Amino acid sequence: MDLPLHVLIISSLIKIVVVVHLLLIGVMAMILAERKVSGWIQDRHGPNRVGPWGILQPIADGIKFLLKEDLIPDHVDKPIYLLAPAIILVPALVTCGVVPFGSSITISGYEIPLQIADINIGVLYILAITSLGVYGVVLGAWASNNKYSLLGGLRSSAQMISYELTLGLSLIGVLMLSSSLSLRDIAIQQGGYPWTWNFLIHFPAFLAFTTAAFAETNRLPFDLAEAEQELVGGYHTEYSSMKFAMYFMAEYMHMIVGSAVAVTLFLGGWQFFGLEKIGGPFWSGIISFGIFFTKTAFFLFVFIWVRWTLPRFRYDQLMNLGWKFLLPIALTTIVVTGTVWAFTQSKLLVAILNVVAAAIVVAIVATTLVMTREPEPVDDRGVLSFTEESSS
Amino acid sequence: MAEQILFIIFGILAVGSAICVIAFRNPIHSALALVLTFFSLAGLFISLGAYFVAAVQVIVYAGAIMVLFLFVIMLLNLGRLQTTRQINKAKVFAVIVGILLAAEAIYIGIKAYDGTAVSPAQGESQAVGAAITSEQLNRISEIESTYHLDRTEINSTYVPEVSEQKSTVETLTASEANLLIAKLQGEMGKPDRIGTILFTKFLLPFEVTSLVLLAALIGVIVLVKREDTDTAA
Repeated sequence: MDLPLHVLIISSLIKIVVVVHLLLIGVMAMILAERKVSGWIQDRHGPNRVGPWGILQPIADGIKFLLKEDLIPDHVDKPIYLLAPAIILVPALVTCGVVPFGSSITISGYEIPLQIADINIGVLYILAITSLGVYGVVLGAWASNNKYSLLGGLRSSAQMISYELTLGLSLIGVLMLSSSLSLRDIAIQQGGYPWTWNFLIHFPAFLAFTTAAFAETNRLPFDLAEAEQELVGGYHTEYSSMKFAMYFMAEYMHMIVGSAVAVTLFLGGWQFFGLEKIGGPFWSGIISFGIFFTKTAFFLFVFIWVRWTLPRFRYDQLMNLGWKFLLPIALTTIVVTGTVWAFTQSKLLVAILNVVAAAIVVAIVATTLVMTREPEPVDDRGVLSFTEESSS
Repeated sequence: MAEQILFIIFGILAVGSAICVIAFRNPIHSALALVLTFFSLAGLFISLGAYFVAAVQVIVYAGAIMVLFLFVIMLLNLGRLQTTRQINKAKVFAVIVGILLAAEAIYIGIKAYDGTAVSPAQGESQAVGAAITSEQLNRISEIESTYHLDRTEINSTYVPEVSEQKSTVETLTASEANLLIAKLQGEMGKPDRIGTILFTKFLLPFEVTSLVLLAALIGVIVLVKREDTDTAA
């Protein structure tokens, strides 16, 4: 932290440029990976015509988006219609500002941390920015002045608001044990070995967080907002060309940033069996970045894997999962972690009792749901339920 | 200097977007301008070193309340009522209260400006090497009493960070004291410090606020439930 001002400014600028470009390249890589992995899962080839093994496919896709005609329908609210794609991209971009993507790197005597800004409210910052993600969707939906768009937007915002709660609450247990809001501190405290990482100590919270992160990205199995069969394209029905591509990119950026945050908070960040300490002050930084990159890539693979494995939820199932399972689990982890930690200070006990308590809660909720289920379900009566009219 | 630039940028944004809130005729546009106002306020909090308050400002207002506002406006606003009048019968009172508040703000501003209020930004114009002033000492003891700090802690932890050889507040020069005050203010903006004083010094107001929120929650549930039984009956 004792860097001279000019080194601080220059290194920060370099880091910002590098991270933003890594994100953009990551989006391209993800588009290719998505198509390749889906091909693999469905036992077909996937893209293999553009360049060797189809690796130039994302560039072809990008050029297609840029060259397509950019339509602005007459009936839209123009300022907001134009603003919405930018608004959805911004939260994804600014969240990566606090994620530590490596230990630190020493160049000509200056130790530069591999993180754009280590602020003392890191986790709160991430929650604050995540809560803004919904604006891009809602505004795009409303400004399109189209019923399909609006329905998609309302579905998606109801979903994001519901799961945001779980997202925040599932982190409280982690914060209690780390007693810091700085992502770097939380990552370092977990140590280098997988059995000391937070995902084992807070396993139910990790599951809840990951599920909520899936829901926040609006991807299958949570993509009701853009369910093609019901809503044409959902909130981006009226968007074409590069504006549609911005929605598309934002989804992938949210995935990448969400994975990076999950890796930092639950999977030990850049640490792995002491590998990150090998090599001098320069190479250890590079290796730590490599470890972080690999973990994030694994998490992203899980994202793709889930998308091509699970079918889409029905709207009432989605709300049940969020409010009746994930939220109680997140609340239980807070109570259990707090109580156990106050009395015993044993991480092992916290880990075991968290899982036991979460299992009990799930059992109770499931039993209650089965007991109170009406004989003929399906006819969902939720206030925001649109499945009935749109499916007919 | 940096604080002043940030203050000017966010101040103009805050006032400008607040004017937009009442000038736009489309309710959605007004709501968005209000979101921008909240962001500028968060920016002002950050320039004051109150990071926690800034984050809470964004989470609570921009992230939760305004999203619900937008929701409601969109649901009530479908197809009809694209623009609304921004002026109603209360305009006379609004003008009177507005003038009163503006006069108040200007009066306090003038009073604070010609007075001796010390801000970190102001200190840079002071002479180099001048001794610590009594106003700065007062400000430091004010911070101490608010945040339950004692002088020995400041002397041992924060003073050496400002000036390496010195170990007491009294020996600092005026410019170093300004640095110290800025450092202390930044330190006190941290969430753990805020948590500590919320649960010690301000415990009663904190609990009373929780009760008010609880009452609102119960109110919501009661209202929703009553509607439910009515339609069922």
